[in-house]
Amino acid sequence: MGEELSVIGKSVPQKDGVERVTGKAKYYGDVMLPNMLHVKILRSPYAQADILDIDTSGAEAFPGVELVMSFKNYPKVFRGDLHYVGDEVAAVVAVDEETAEEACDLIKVTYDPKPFVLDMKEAMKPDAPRVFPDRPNVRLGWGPGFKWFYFSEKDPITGLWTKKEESDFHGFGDVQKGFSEADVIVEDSDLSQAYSRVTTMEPRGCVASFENGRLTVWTHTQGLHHTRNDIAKFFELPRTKINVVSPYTGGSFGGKVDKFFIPIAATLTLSKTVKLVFTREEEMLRGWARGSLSRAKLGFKKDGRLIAMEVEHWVEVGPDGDSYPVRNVFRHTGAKLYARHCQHLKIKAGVVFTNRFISIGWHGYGTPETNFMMETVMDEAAYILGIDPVELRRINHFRKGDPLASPRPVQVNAQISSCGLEECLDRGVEKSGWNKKWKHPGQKRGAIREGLGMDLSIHGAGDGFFSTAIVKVSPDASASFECGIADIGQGQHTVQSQIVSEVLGISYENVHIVCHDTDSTPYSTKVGSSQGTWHQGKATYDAAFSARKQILDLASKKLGRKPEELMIRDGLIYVEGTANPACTFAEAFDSLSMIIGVGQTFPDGREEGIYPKEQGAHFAHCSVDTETGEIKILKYVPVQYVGRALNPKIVEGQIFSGVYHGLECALLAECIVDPKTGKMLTYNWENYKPLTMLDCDIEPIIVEIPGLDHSHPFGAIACGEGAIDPVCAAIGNAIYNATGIRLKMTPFTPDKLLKALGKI
Amino acid sequence: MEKVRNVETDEKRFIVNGKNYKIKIEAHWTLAYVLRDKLGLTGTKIACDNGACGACTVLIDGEPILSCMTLAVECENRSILTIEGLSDGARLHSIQEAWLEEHGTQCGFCAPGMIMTTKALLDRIPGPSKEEIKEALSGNICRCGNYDHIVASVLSAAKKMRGEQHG
Repeated sequence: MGEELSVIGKSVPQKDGVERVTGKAKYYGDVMLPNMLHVKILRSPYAQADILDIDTSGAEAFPGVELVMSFKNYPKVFRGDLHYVGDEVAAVVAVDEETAEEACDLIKVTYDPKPFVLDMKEAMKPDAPRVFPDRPNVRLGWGPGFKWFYFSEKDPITGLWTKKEESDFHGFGDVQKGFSEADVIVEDSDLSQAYSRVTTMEPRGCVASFENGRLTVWTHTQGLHHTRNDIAKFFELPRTKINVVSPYTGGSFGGKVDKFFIPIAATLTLSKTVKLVFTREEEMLRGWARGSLSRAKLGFKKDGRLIAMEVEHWVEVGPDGDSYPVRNVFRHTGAKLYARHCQHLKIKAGVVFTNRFISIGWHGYGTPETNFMMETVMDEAAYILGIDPVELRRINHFRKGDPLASPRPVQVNAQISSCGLEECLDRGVEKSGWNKKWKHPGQKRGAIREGLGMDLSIHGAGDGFFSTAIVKVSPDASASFECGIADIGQGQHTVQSQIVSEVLGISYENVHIVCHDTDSTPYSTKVGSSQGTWHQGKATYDAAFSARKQILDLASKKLGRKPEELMIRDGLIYVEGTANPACTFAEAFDSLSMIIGVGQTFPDGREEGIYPKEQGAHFAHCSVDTETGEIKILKYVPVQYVGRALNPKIVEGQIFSGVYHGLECALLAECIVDPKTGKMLTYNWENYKPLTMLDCDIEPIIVEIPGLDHSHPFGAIACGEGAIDPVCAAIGNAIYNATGIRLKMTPFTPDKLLKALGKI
Repeated sequence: MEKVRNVETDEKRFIVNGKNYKIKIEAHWTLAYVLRDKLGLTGTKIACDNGACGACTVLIDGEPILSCMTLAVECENRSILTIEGLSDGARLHSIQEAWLEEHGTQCGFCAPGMIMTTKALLDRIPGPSKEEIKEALSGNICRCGNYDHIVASVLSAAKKMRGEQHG
């Protein structure tokens, strides 16, 4: 495609924006069907217990109750062993929520309470109570059966890794040798992000209906087809017997990937529609993340080159939550972000079970907590080496062509498609006034001290799945675009429609997206790893390009011109270089009433060994009151390299989201439990406080470098999660720069600062 | 504890988006529940159900209130405006237009409440400063963190509405 673009790069309005601003957008919770039944869940009062006996007869006899479910009659859905306060004991399905709730009170349960553990460090001790009797609380690796890799051979010419072997550790080289060659070794431990979580506006839940042998599930999702497949697998149903309906999701940020099997199991029994909407308190029981405990040892040459690195990193997952995020520990180490000079790397990492609440992925998916470890210790190193923190990053960040050592197969594990970090650093230095304002902490005086902190990140367009798009073009130059990608607020429906409009040369308004359920759409990747624009975008491009080619072939025959002499603009076909249209779509189509283009991308689409990655440099300017411990963010400048911003306002919005969640992690977010009972004390937005409109002033910079990245037809790489990764370390580094105090645990609350200052 | 449910009141009259409704309600039903589950006006969202987020904001006699914290019985004979009543048929209200143009929504779940709070603000202060906007909307949470775009949307809406009034 030529560089003159009409829709790509413009902040056109959200494709489904009208529905969202008029209240007509139907989220799953807005589904109200006649004679719908409601579910209430009876939850565990104990942090660890076995159910000795459960008597549901009273609830079953209660007027209005249709079904009572527990591990006795639904052993696949419920367990007899409970692992956190709020764990699911039983459920009542009844004519309304109140009846269901009252009937829950009539279920008699005899529990056998057991010892429990609520703290990660405690859980790691050999004599700690076990969360699961049959396995230790600590598990090395990033999932059941997923091991780490030792990279053993390199291509002598390209320098890229060509061989790896399964191992208990991840990395390459020999760290002992590396540290012996280092001039300066910087080490720190007990770096920790608090167990914290994303909250979304829309609470979790679903509506399920089984009628005429087909199951319909209205829910939130990050992948309509993924959800359908998971339900099919769990209930052993053919996929085509299930329709997942999810036109809108009220925020997800990685977390809304749960499948709600209780209402589905109930409707399969009752053949009646069953609805479950979590209360805010129930919502808070699922979806924690970040809890981490890390140690990092970095070996430098005097000139700042980072040559050896050893990392130990543990992540809390509650009672067997999502353990995959720990895999991303490699991302900000010498395996990727700092691959430039690093010759020796050893990462030991795994997960820790506790009796806190179920962990699920969240915005950044394992990377923010490892960024916090890495970029905190890098900052310490800058002061010890006497090298400006910006300069130390410049010396060590990866360049295009540097080898990657991720847990992926080596053939798709080669190099990053482009590097925009230099420009990010330049722009951030300028906007933050770094060179003028940065002073050593030793030079700061007075009760209120200001400081600057910065760091880097790399993220995005991770593991791709199969993606498909179908573009159906009509003779009136309008197109119907079938695509199963989820729009969770990140703008995928808009951006994908922009691609169709641009490639076909028809107006954005004339692209109609069909995306609301699995019945009407082809398979799309789930939106994770910030890969929608890149992975699905390529399939969308191919579908539109195929339709365009067919249209131009038809026009070519009609006009007696070669297809390459023709172009489409504003829904009309032109001979290149002429001002007047040569024919309309209708004329080209002749008797045809529809042209169909199909595009697909496959999971192995990266065998060319080129990975696109969003990159960023963040600059924080804080003031710290050393008398009260109050920390104020004076200015926050996130600079994100995204290749090309297909819709700049949407990209800006993605950066706002990431930084906003990151600032919450830095300042507020923490799961607090009653140590005696394991009961959550941060169970709603009054005690798990969100930042408000009064708290955030973010000045994002979007870095686009036209022509630098060729991995996507429009030069987009990724944009989404990258903006959250660097926030905690940037703030922590600014606090150090202001006070000389290194805070190593988030959130950075006044009490931690005052304790470190020796004032309380 | 004494149960309050099934205490059905007499038929109550509500004026929602200019239309009269007479329905039997139970004493403990919230306005949000009646709007959504009984009148099918699901544009009003319930996110926290305890008055902490503003997603359920509707206007009662022009004042923004949290419909999840307001009992329906209190609203008898009062004029209630929800997001569904803001646009005039297919024609969007200036605030909604501004929201679209400035990308005031991401996931959209906070938008109905945000927009209704904005309506009350701009009816009261036609030309608010950024600070006044932030103050007025600080009780409305947007978990997408889209606040900068929301402030821009309100500023743009204010301009549009002033233009309409003067023109």
